[in-house]
Amino acid sequence: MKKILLAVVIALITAITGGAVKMSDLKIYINPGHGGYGSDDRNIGIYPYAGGDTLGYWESKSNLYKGLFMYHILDSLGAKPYLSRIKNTEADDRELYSISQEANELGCDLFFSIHSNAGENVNYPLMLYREDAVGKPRYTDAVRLSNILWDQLHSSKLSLWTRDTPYVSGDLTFYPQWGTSGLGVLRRLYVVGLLSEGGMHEHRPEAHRLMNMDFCWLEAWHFVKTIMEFYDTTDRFVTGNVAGVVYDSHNTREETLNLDNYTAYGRDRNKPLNGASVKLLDASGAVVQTRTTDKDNNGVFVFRNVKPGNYTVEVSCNGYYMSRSDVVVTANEVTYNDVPLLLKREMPLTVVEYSPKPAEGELVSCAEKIKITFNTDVDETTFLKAVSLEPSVAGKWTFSKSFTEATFTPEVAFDLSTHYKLSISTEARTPDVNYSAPNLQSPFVMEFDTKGRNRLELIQSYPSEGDAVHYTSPTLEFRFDKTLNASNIYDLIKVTDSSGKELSVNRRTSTYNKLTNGYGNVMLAMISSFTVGEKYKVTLDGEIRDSEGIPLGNNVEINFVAENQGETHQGEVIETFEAENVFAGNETESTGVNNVPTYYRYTSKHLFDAAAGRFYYSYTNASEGVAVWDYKGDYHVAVHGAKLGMYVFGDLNAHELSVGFSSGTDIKYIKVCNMDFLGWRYFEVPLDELLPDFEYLLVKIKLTQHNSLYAQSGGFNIDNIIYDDSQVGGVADAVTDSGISVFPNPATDEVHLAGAEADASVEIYNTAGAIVKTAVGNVVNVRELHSGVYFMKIARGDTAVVKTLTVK
Amino acid sequence: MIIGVAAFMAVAMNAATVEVIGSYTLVNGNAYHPVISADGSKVIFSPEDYSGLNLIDFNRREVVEISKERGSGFAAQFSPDGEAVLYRCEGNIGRLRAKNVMSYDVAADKTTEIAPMNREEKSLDAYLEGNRVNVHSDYREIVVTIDGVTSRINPVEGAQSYIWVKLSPDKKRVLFVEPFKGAFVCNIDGKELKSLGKGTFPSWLGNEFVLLTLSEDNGDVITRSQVVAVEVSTGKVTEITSADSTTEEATGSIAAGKIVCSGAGGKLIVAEIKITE
Repeated sequence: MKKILLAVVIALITAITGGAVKMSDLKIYINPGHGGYGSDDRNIGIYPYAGGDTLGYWESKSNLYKGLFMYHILDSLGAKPYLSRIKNTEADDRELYSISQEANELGCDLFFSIHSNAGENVNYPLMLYREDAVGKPRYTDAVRLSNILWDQLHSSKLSLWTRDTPYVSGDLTFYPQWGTSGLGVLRRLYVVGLLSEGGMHEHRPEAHRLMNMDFCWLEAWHFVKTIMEFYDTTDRFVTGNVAGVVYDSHNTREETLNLDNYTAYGRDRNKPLNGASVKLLDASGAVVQTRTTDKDNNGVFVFRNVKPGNYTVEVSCNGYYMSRSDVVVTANEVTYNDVPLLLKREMPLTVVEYSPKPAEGELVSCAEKIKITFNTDVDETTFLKAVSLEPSVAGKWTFSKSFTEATFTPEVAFDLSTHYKLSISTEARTPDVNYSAPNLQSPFVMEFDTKGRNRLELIQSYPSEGDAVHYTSPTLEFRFDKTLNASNIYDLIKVTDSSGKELSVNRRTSTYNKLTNGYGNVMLAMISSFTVGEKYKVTLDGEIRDSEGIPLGNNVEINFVAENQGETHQGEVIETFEAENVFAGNETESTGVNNVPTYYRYTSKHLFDAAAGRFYYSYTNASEGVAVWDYKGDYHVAVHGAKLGMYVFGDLNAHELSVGFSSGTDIKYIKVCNMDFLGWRYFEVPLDELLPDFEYLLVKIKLTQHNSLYAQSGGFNIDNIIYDDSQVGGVADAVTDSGISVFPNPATDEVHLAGAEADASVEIYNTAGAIVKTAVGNVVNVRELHSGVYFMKIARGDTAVVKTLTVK
Repeated sequence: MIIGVAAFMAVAMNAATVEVIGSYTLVNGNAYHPVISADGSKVIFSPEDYSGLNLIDFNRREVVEISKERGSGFAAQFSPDGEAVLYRCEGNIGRLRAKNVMSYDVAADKTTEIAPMNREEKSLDAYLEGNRVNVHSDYREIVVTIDGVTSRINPVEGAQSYIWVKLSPDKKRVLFVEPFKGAFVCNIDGKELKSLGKGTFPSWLGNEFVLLTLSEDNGDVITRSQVVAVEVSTGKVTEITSADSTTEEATGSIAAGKIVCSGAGGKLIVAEIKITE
């Protein structure tokens, strides 16, 4: 009992002697951030000020206004305020440590650093307090102070907030990128304090409000009220305030804020009214205070320090109907009273322009939008009741240019080859309900017929359904029957793995609309490699549209799997493409081309070692072109029954790739593939079309044009070429089925034709197919032949055998 | 010579030349706000947020904890003879913030409260027994007390405020910073004002020189800081640490030939200086 009595006595003594706090007891330090009009002083471009105009918005300026107002409110309450600056010039930038030092030296009770924040499409207060370590506030009271101030600032209804839960954080937690530095102005402070980021000055409607003195004053008032609540002071505001925004009840702020580029919510989209006269009348009708909304497009007014009681707010503005509303003022509170004013139109609604307006017999695109322009803003509710479209089409009406334009956008597209009729009844009207005849003067009708195409068509894709795609540096391509509208095209195509995770596209190296003759395409370069064996899906959004606006309509999904096309295969690598100039365009044999096909050693896209071969072509027309390249590398014998393999990097243009083999005068082309893929793929073809008993050399690559309206030029790569004669039995250096073999080979003086008849007729051809020597017998002198590779055609009865011969 | 975080430069002072002949780290971490005793034998320092006060003796090199109390590291000072350390601890009177005054006897390792919790902001010099002169800032004025008689001086015309107000060792002049105009020295009567240029954390180096910190920030954080010495009579500025250093506060004793700087990470770096006539 004694202990309880003692506690009661102590509590009483505390209450009497020191527990209660008056505003006049307090020393408050106010830091309105840094000063001046420099690059770090946060100039925000707002209408009508040019960037850098010191008359426009600067955070340094609004911070100072708030600080000065706070100083005066505190001073009027008997508190002892201190300001770190009182002007806004570059000279008013002072060292951060000198600010905290001053607050420390003065023994201040609280410290407020006043700011606003960056963020265009959001608007909310943010409070930051000092932490000695992440999650460890230097003063727990600073957290409490921050929460009270957050609630206070957020209670203001002059701003429209996008966040309703308190945002209070320690500085080290909020700025992890600064390590242990935190906010410089709080770092050396040993006073309970905070840095208030207020609202977002990059949010343009808020920047306009921050230009208003009443708005800044009210924020300062909330700071002071925060102090009262923090200390639970015995003295509070004995007056209240009335605050609001005057704005056009319907028209949007077209001139003062581009709503296509900047964000505005709720009544912030409406036109704030400058120069509106706002009067506060007491119960007897006497004017207590007046305000005129400023010229900075915010419409804000605040009647400050109003005695509690019943009042009327009377607002008038040139061209608008007057407004009166009753308000009740309460001590220590703010009464909010927004005032939407009705514009006097005083005229009937009329249609002054519309589209489409086709000429006689002219057809309208199925992607066309219907646009109606009125003489003034239209009331959207009555308009939507009054308008009808026959036959009906799924879509929506939107309004622009402050409701003077109504636009109908079909959800997908209008039906093809259809007659449409749009009607607007006289039920549509202006919003001016005070005027006697605001309705549409007479019914409006417009008609049009649509064209015969209303869907974009996917005409070719890589991958196509079920394709296997080489896993490294993958590139996907989709081709359409018309040039695409490329805006946000990369957002409309998603590549996902089997878990649904979206894969990133390298937008810098991806391309679109690179086809000819009005066709469209998108080529997606993936940032990362695929995983071999993984299944993937590409989804083309139905919202992909062509340059006319015609949509794909439905989503298209294509499933594919990743494979390694670079695996080694059985056989001898007969060409690695590591050397320069192993192929060269053949001008004579190439037909229907714009110029001689070209060839390069190519190091950007290769499968093996350091390079591949790159073959470029350009056909003149849409069909019947042939591009031929001659082989200039080391010759290799090929025979019937062997296999030829090669790694090809396709270009999706679908032309036919074939390889030419020569046996002297005879050249046989063997098809390898149609180039209907993109990226690496391995092909292996049997050389069954080569004649038995003949030896051949690989001498040409040929690309035969398939009908191609949209891709007459292109390029493909080939890496290693593999020759596999394992199923033939080493024919090149042994007696073949023909029973004839040539030795020595290579030869210098003479060659013996083992198995040939003694009077065998022999013809020797060079690789160009020209005959260079004839002889009779089974021993042939080759001394006069130049070094090189030759074909020996050896007669045997009614047939012949072709053998290759190398002369040194 | 670059040791630790500070690159010390030669200091040319009037007719005398001060040369940095060596430097070393005295305390390696969480040591800020150094104040050296007049004889240069001891340094007091505290954590960055002033929550605590420590002493290190150059001879023993042992850190002695004087206080763990919040605020005790702010503006703590030695008595002129270095035998005592005066400091304040933060507390409350009712719900209001207050501070007391403590005196730490170095030899006896004993702390005594010499003033109870109060809300006055006068200089700790006022609590020194036998001291005739003390000065402190009262925001827009400097309060000077001589033999119990208080007067107010306002030496800089149009001053926003006065901070870091410090009496010279010979008690004849006052050093202070006006936040927008820089550091100044004036006589104790406010006359013979001399501008020393921009700077923060000023401290006396003997009676003729002042150490200043030049710092830059981007509005949010300090981006660089450097310690310089300024000769009061001529205004001549000499770099003590290099321009790209992060030294923040400096305190010096000409008698002991030492300058102590606090640097990044809470290091105390000592520069030993040699004075050549």
